Amino acid sequence: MAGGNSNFMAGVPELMILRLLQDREMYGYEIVQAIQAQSRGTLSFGEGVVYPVLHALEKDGALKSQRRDASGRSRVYYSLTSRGVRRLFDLTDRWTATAAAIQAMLKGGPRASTV
Amino acid sequence: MPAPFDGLEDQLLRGGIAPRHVKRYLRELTEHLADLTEAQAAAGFDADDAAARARAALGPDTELADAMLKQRDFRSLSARFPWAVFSVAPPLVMFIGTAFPVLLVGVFAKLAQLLALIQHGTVEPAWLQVTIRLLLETGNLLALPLAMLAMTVIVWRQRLSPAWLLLSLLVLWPLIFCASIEFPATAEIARKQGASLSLGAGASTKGILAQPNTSLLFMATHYILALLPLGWLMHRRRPVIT
Repeated sequence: MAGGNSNFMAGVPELMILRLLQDREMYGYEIVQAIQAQSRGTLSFGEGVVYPVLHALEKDGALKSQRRDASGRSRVYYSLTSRGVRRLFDLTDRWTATAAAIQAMLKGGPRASTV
Repeated sequence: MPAPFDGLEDQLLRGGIAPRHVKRYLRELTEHLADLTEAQAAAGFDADDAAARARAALGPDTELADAMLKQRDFRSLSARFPWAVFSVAPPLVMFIGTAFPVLLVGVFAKLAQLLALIQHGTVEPAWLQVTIRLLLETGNLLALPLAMLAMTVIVWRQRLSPAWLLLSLLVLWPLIFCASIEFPATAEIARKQGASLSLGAGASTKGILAQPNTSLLFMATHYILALLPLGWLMHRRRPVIT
Protein backbone atom coordinates (compact mmCIF):
# COMPACT_ATOMS: atom_id res chain seq x y z
CA MET A 1 0.00 0.00 0.00
CA ALA A 2 2.53 2.58 1.07
CA GLY A 3 5.79 2.87 -0.76
CA GLY A 4 9.20 1.88 0.57
CA ASN A 5 10.65 -1.23 2.18
CA SER A 6 7.82 -3.67 2.65
CA ASN A 7 9.23 -5.13 5.88
CA PHE A 8 9.51 -1.76 7.51
CA MET A 9 6.08 -0.78 6.25
CA ALA A 10 4.42 -4.01 7.34
CA GLY A 11 1.37 -3.24 9.44
CA VAL A 12 1.26 0.43 8.44
CA PRO A 13 -1.81 0.19 6.18
CA GLU A 14 -3.67 -1.68 8.93
CA LEU A 15 -2.59 0.89 11.50
CA MET A 16 -3.83 3.80 9.39
CA ILE A 17 -7.14 2.15 8.63
CA LEU A 18 -7.78 1.10 12.21
CA ARG A 19 -6.90 4.58 13.47
CA LEU A 20 -9.29 6.24 11.04
CA LEU A 21 -12.10 3.85 11.88
CA GLN A 22 -11.59 4.44 15.58
CA ASP A 23 -13.27 7.83 15.14
CA ARG A 24 -16.21 6.75 12.99
CA GLU A 25 -17.35 4.16 10.50
CA MET A 26 -16.30 4.82 6.90
CA TYR A 27 -16.49 3.29 3.44
CA GLY A 28 -13.45 2.50 1.29
CA TYR A 29 -13.40 5.69 -0.74
CA GLU A 30 -13.70 7.81 2.40
CA ILE A 31 -10.85 5.92 4.05
CA VAL A 32 -8.52 6.50 1.10
CA GLN A 33 -9.40 10.20 0.91
CA ALA A 34 -8.79 10.55 4.63
CA ILE A 35 -5.39 8.83 4.41
CA GLN A 36 -4.33 11.07 1.55
CA ALA A 37 -5.57 14.20 3.26
CA GLN A 38 -3.99 13.40 6.63
CA SER A 39 -0.67 12.30 5.14
CA ARG A 40 -0.70 15.40 2.90
CA GLY A 41 -0.06 13.25 -0.15
CA THR A 42 3.10 11.66 1.28
CA LEU A 43 1.61 8.20 1.02
CA SER A 44 0.72 7.41 -2.57
CA PHE A 45 -0.72 4.10 -3.71
CA GLY A 46 -3.30 2.67 -6.03
CA GLU A 47 -6.48 3.45 -4.16
CA GLY A 48 -8.01 0.04 -4.83
CA VAL A 49 -5.40 -1.78 -2.75
CA VAL A 50 -7.16 -0.66 0.42
CA TYR A 51 -9.87 -3.29 -0.08
CA PRO A 52 -7.81 -6.45 0.40
CA VAL A 53 -6.52 -4.92 3.64
CA LEU A 54 -10.06 -4.12 4.77
CA HIS A 55 -11.27 -7.60 3.86
CA ALA A 56 -8.38 -9.23 5.69
CA LEU A 57 -9.02 -7.14 8.80
CA GLU A 58 -12.66 -8.11 8.66
CA LYS A 59 -11.76 -11.77 8.30
CA ASP A 60 -9.54 -11.46 11.37
CA GLY A 61 -12.45 -9.97 13.30
CA ALA A 62 -10.86 -6.54 13.67
CA LEU A 63 -13.56 -4.89 11.55
CA LYS A 64 -17.15 -5.50 10.69
CA SER A 65 -18.90 -4.31 7.59
CA GLN A 66 -22.41 -3.39 6.63
CA ARG A 67 -23.80 -2.54 3.22
CA ARG A 68 -26.07 0.49 3.33
CA ASP A 69 -27.56 3.02 0.96
CA ALA A 70 -26.14 6.50 1.27
CA SER A 71 -26.65 9.43 -1.10
CA GLY A 72 -28.42 7.19 -3.56
CA ARG A 73 -25.52 4.70 -3.67
CA SER A 74 -25.00 1.38 -2.02
CA ARG A 75 -21.81 1.39 0.04
CA VAL A 76 -20.00 -0.92 2.41
CA TYR A 77 -19.35 0.78 5.73
CA TYR A 78 -16.56 -0.56 7.93
CA SER A 79 -16.38 -0.13 11.68
CA LEU A 80 -14.01 -1.21 14.41
CA THR A 81 -14.71 -4.16 16.70
CA SER A 82 -13.33 -4.61 20.21
CA ARG A 83 -10.69 -6.93 18.76
CA GLY A 84 -9.85 -4.17 16.26
CA VAL A 85 -9.37 -1.69 19.11
CA ARG A 86 -6.92 -4.06 20.81
CA ARG A 87 -5.09 -4.55 17.54
CA LEU A 88 -4.92 -0.78 17.04
CA PHE A 89 -3.32 -0.30 20.48
CA ASP A 90 -0.87 -3.10 19.80
CA LEU A 91 0.12 -1.74 16.38
CA THR A 92 0.36 1.80 17.76
CA ASP A 93 2.77 0.65 20.48
CA ARG A 94 4.91 -1.24 18.02
CA TRP A 95 4.98 1.58 15.50
CA THR A 96 5.75 4.20 18.14
CA ALA A 97 8.68 2.11 19.37
CA THR A 98 9.98 1.59 15.82
CA ALA A 99 9.60 5.27 14.94
CA ALA A 100 11.36 6.31 18.17
CA ALA A 101 14.26 3.95 17.46
CA ILE A 102 14.67 5.29 13.93
CA GLN A 103 14.38 8.86 15.17
CA ALA A 104 17.10 8.21 17.76
CA MET A 105 19.39 6.77 15.10
CA LEU A 106 18.82 9.71 12.77
CA LYS A 107 19.53 12.21 15.53
CA GLY A 108 22.81 10.68 16.51
CA GLY A 109 23.99 7.13 16.05
CA PRO A 110 27.47 5.77 16.73
CA ARG A 111 28.71 7.21 13.41
CA ALA A 112 27.37 10.65 14.20
CA SER A 113 29.09 10.68 17.59
CA THR A 114 32.51 10.05 16.04
CA VAL A 115 32.22 12.98 13.63
CA MET B 1 -16.09 -4.75 -25.16
CA PRO B 2 -14.38 -6.10 -22.02
CA ALA B 3 -15.61 -4.88 -18.61
CA PRO B 4 -13.13 -2.63 -16.72
CA PHE B 5 -11.95 -5.42 -14.43
CA ASP B 6 -12.11 -8.46 -16.71
CA GLY B 7 -8.34 -8.83 -16.79
CA LEU B 8 -8.06 -8.40 -13.03
CA GLU B 9 -10.80 -10.94 -12.39
CA ASP B 10 -8.99 -13.45 -14.54
CA GLN B 11 -5.66 -12.80 -12.79
CA LEU B 12 -7.19 -13.28 -9.35
CA LEU B 13 -9.07 -16.45 -10.22
CA ARG B 14 -6.03 -17.94 -11.88
CA GLY B 15 -4.06 -16.94 -8.78
CA GLY B 16 -6.39 -19.11 -6.70
CA ILE B 17 -8.52 -16.47 -4.99
CA ALA B 18 -11.98 -17.82 -4.18
CA PRO B 19 -14.68 -16.51 -6.55
CA ARG B 20 -16.73 -14.97 -3.72
CA HIS B 21 -13.75 -12.88 -2.58
CA VAL B 22 -13.04 -11.85 -6.17
CA LYS B 23 -16.65 -10.86 -6.67
CA ARG B 24 -16.70 -8.75 -3.53
CA TYR B 25 -13.38 -7.07 -4.38
CA LEU B 26 -14.50 -6.19 -7.90
CA ARG B 27 -17.80 -4.83 -6.68
CA GLU B 28 -16.12 -2.50 -4.21
CA LEU B 29 -13.55 -1.46 -6.82
CA THR B 30 -16.40 -0.64 -9.22
CA GLU B 31 -18.09 1.49 -6.57
CA HIS B 32 -14.80 3.19 -5.71
CA LEU B 33 -14.21 3.89 -9.41
CA ALA B 34 -17.65 5.51 -9.66
CA ASP B 35 -16.80 7.79 -6.71
CA LEU B 36 -13.44 8.69 -8.23
CA THR B 37 -14.99 9.42 -11.63
CA GLU B 38 -17.60 11.62 -10.02
CA ALA B 39 -14.92 13.53 -8.13
CA GLN B 40 -12.87 14.06 -11.30
CA ALA B 41 -15.93 15.25 -13.20
CA ALA B 42 -16.74 17.63 -10.35
CA ALA B 43 -13.19 18.97 -10.63
CA GLY B 44 -13.94 20.01 -14.20
CA PHE B 45 -12.67 17.16 -16.37
CA ASP B 46 -14.79 15.96 -19.26
CA ALA B 47 -16.29 12.48 -19.10
CA ASP B 48 -13.46 10.69 -20.91
CA ASP B 49 -10.70 12.43 -18.98
CA ALA B 50 -12.52 11.92 -15.69
CA ALA B 51 -12.89 8.20 -16.39
CA ALA B 52 -9.23 7.82 -17.39
CA ARG B 53 -7.94 9.76 -14.38
CA ALA B 54 -10.20 7.81 -12.04
CA ARG B 55 -9.01 4.50 -13.42
CA ALA B 56 -5.38 5.59 -13.05
CA ALA B 57 -5.96 6.68 -9.45
CA LEU B 58 -7.48 3.32 -8.60
CA GLY B 59 -4.18 1.65 -9.51
CA PRO B 60 -2.90 -0.63 -12.26
CA ASP B 61 -4.27 -4.16 -12.50
CA THR B 62 -0.96 -5.69 -11.40
CA GLU B 63 -0.92 -3.63 -8.18
CA LEU B 64 -4.58 -4.40 -7.48
CA ALA B 65 -4.00 -8.08 -8.15
CA ASP B 66 -0.83 -8.28 -6.04
CA ALA B 67 -2.61 -6.71 -3.07
CA MET B 68 -5.24 -9.42 -3.14
CA LEU B 69 -2.94 -12.31 -4.02
CA LYS B 70 -0.86 -11.51 -0.93
CA GLN B 71 -3.88 -12.39 1.22
CA ARG B 72 -3.34 -16.15 1.35
CA ASP B 73 -6.47 -16.68 3.45
CA PHE B 74 -8.64 -15.72 0.51
CA ARG B 75 -7.48 -18.64 -1.63
CA SER B 76 -10.15 -21.17 -2.46
CA LEU B 77 -10.11 -24.71 -1.15
CA SER B 78 -9.70 -26.09 -4.66
CA ALA B 79 -6.67 -23.85 -5.23
CA ARG B 80 -5.09 -24.88 -1.94
CA PHE B 81 -5.88 -28.58 -2.03
CA PRO B 82 -6.86 -29.49 -5.61
CA TRP B 83 -5.83 -33.12 -5.16
CA ALA B 84 -8.17 -33.51 -2.22
CA VAL B 85 -11.05 -31.56 -3.73
CA PHE B 86 -11.06 -33.35 -7.07
CA SER B 87 -10.72 -36.79 -5.56
CA VAL B 88 -12.95 -36.52 -2.47
CA ALA B 89 -15.74 -34.23 -3.64
CA PRO B 90 -16.86 -36.22 -6.71
CA PRO B 91 -17.75 -39.43 -4.82
CA LEU B 92 -19.49 -37.28 -2.23
CA VAL B 93 -21.58 -35.49 -4.86
CA MET B 94 -22.24 -38.80 -6.57
CA PHE B 95 -23.38 -40.33 -3.30
CA ILE B 96 -25.74 -37.42 -2.68
CA GLY B 97 -26.97 -37.64 -6.27
CA THR B 98 -27.69 -41.34 -5.78
CA ALA B 99 -29.14 -41.05 -2.31
CA PHE B 100 -31.36 -38.07 -2.98
CA PRO B 101 -33.89 -40.06 -5.03
CA VAL B 102 -34.12 -42.57 -2.16
CA LEU B 103 -35.06 -39.72 0.11
CA LEU B 104 -37.58 -38.54 -2.47
CA VAL B 105 -39.05 -42.03 -2.63
CA GLY B 106 -39.45 -42.05 1.14
CA VAL B 107 -41.13 -38.64 1.17
CA PHE B 108 -43.27 -39.57 -1.82
CA ALA B 109 -44.41 -42.85 -0.25
CA LYS B 110 -45.20 -41.16 3.05
CA LEU B 111 -47.18 -38.47 1.27
CA ALA B 112 -49.10 -41.04 -0.76
CA GLN B 113 -49.82 -42.94 2.45
CA LEU B 114 -51.03 -39.81 4.21
CA LEU B 115 -53.34 -39.06 1.31
CA ALA B 116 -54.59 -42.66 1.58
CA LEU B 117 -53.44 -43.39 -1.97
CA ILE B 118 -51.53 -46.44 -0.74
CA GLN B 119 -51.67 -48.70 2.25
CA HIS B 120 -49.02 -48.52 4.95
CA GLY B 121 -45.59 -49.15 3.44
CA THR B 122 -46.73 -51.39 0.60
CA VAL B 123 -45.66 -51.04 -3.02
CA GLU B 124 -49.16 -51.26 -4.42
CA PRO B 125 -50.66 -49.92 -6.63
CA ALA B 126 -48.62 -50.30 -9.83
CA TRP B 127 -48.21 -46.58 -10.43
CA LEU B 128 -46.29 -46.31 -7.17
CA GLN B 129 -43.84 -48.94 -8.38
CA VAL B 130 -43.41 -47.11 -11.67
CA THR B 131 -42.81 -43.82 -9.91
CA ILE B 132 -40.28 -45.31 -7.52
CA ARG B 133 -38.48 -47.07 -10.34
CA LEU B 134 -38.40 -43.84 -12.35
CA LEU B 135 -36.99 -41.83 -9.45
CA LEU B 136 -34.30 -44.38 -8.66
CA GLU B 137 -33.25 -44.93 -12.26
CA THR B 138 -33.04 -41.18 -12.79
CA GLY B 139 -30.78 -40.97 -9.75
CA ASN B 140 -28.67 -43.85 -11.02
CA LEU B 141 -28.30 -42.30 -14.42
CA LEU B 142 -27.63 -38.74 -13.32
CA ALA B 143 -25.39 -39.26 -10.28
CA LEU B 144 -22.10 -39.48 -12.19
CA PRO B 145 -22.88 -36.72 -14.71
CA LEU B 146 -24.03 -34.57 -11.79
CA ALA B 147 -20.76 -35.15 -9.97
CA MET B 148 -18.78 -34.31 -13.09
CA LEU B 149 -20.93 -31.25 -13.73
CA ALA B 150 -20.22 -29.99 -10.22
CA MET B 151 -16.47 -30.48 -10.74
CA THR B 152 -16.64 -28.80 -14.15
CA VAL B 153 -18.33 -25.76 -12.61
CA ILE B 154 -15.51 -25.50 -10.06
CA VAL B 155 -12.86 -25.80 -12.78
CA TRP B 156 -14.67 -23.24 -14.94
CA ARG B 157 -15.30 -20.70 -12.20
CA GLN B 158 -11.79 -20.88 -10.82
CA ARG B 159 -9.95 -21.11 -14.14
CA LEU B 160 -8.30 -24.39 -13.14
CA SER B 161 -6.78 -26.88 -15.51
CA PRO B 162 -9.35 -29.29 -17.03
CA ALA B 163 -6.83 -32.03 -16.24
CA TRP B 164 -8.27 -32.08 -12.69
CA LEU B 165 -11.50 -33.42 -14.18
CA LEU B 166 -9.63 -36.47 -15.39
CA LEU B 167 -8.63 -37.18 -11.80
CA SER B 168 -12.30 -36.97 -10.79
CA LEU B 169 -13.26 -39.27 -13.61
CA LEU B 170 -10.61 -41.79 -12.54
CA VAL B 171 -11.88 -41.74 -8.97
CA LEU B 172 -15.47 -42.16 -10.09
CA TRP B 173 -14.75 -44.98 -12.53
CA PRO B 174 -14.82 -47.86 -10.00
CA LEU B 175 -17.89 -46.44 -8.29
CA ILE B 176 -19.99 -47.05 -11.38
CA PHE B 177 -19.88 -50.75 -10.56
CA CYS B 178 -21.51 -50.45 -7.18
CA ALA B 179 -23.12 -47.05 -6.84
CA SER B 180 -26.58 -47.76 -8.09
CA ILE B 181 -29.89 -48.34 -6.40
CA GLU B 182 -32.02 -51.32 -7.30
CA PHE B 183 -35.65 -51.83 -6.78
CA PRO B 184 -37.27 -54.34 -9.20
CA ALA B 185 -37.05 -57.80 -7.57
CA THR B 186 -37.78 -56.68 -4.04
CA ALA B 187 -40.98 -55.00 -5.17
CA GLU B 188 -42.26 -58.20 -6.69
CA ILE B 189 -41.29 -60.25 -3.64
CA ALA B 190 -42.90 -57.72 -1.38
CA ARG B 191 -46.11 -57.89 -3.36
CA LYS B 192 -46.23 -61.69 -3.25
CA GLN B 193 -45.33 -62.02 0.39
CA GLY B 194 -47.40 -59.11 1.53
CA ALA B 195 -44.27 -57.52 2.98
CA SER B 196 -43.62 -53.85 3.58
CA LEU B 197 -41.48 -51.57 1.50
CA SER B 198 -38.20 -50.73 3.16
CA LEU B 199 -35.14 -48.87 2.06
CA GLY B 200 -31.56 -49.97 2.46
CA ALA B 201 -28.09 -49.37 1.04
CA GLY B 202 -25.08 -51.52 0.25
CA ALA B 203 -22.50 -52.31 -2.41
CA SER B 204 -23.29 -54.98 -4.97
CA THR B 205 -21.86 -56.27 -8.22
CA LYS B 206 -24.98 -58.29 -8.88
CA GLY B 207 -26.27 -55.96 -11.57
CA ILE B 208 -23.21 -55.92 -13.78
CA LEU B 209 -22.65 -59.68 -13.47
CA ALA B 210 -26.26 -60.64 -14.05
CA GLN B 211 -26.87 -58.33 -16.98
CA PRO B 212 -23.50 -57.46 -18.53
CA ASN B 213 -24.94 -56.07 -21.76
CA THR B 214 -27.46 -53.79 -20.13
CA SER B 215 -24.93 -52.71 -17.54
CA LEU B 216 -22.31 -51.88 -20.15
CA LEU B 217 -24.84 -49.84 -22.09
CA PHE B 218 -25.81 -48.09 -18.87
CA MET B 219 -22.18 -47.36 -18.06
CA ALA B 220 -21.47 -46.09 -21.56
CA THR B 221 -24.42 -43.72 -21.32
CA HIS B 222 -23.16 -42.63 -17.94
CA TYR B 223 -19.74 -41.82 -19.27
CA ILE B 224 -20.99 -39.97 -22.32
CA LEU B 225 -23.22 -37.84 -20.11
CA ALA B 226 -20.35 -37.30 -17.69
CA LEU B 227 -18.02 -36.18 -20.45
CA LEU B 228 -20.49 -33.62 -21.82
CA PRO B 229 -19.58 -30.91 -19.27
CA LEU B 230 -15.89 -31.52 -19.96
CA GLY B 231 -16.51 -31.16 -23.70
CA TRP B 232 -18.42 -27.96 -23.06
CA LEU B 233 -15.56 -26.66 -20.93
CA MET B 234 -12.96 -27.39 -23.61
CA HIS B 235 -15.16 -25.69 -26.19
CA ARG B 236 -15.90 -22.62 -24.07
CA ARG B 237 -12.50 -22.27 -22.44
CA ARG B 238 -11.76 -18.60 -22.09
CA PRO B 239 -8.57 -17.30 -23.66
CA VAL B 240 -5.96 -16.01 -21.25
CA ILE B 241 -6.39 -12.27 -20.90
CA THR B 242 -3.10 -10.45 -20.82
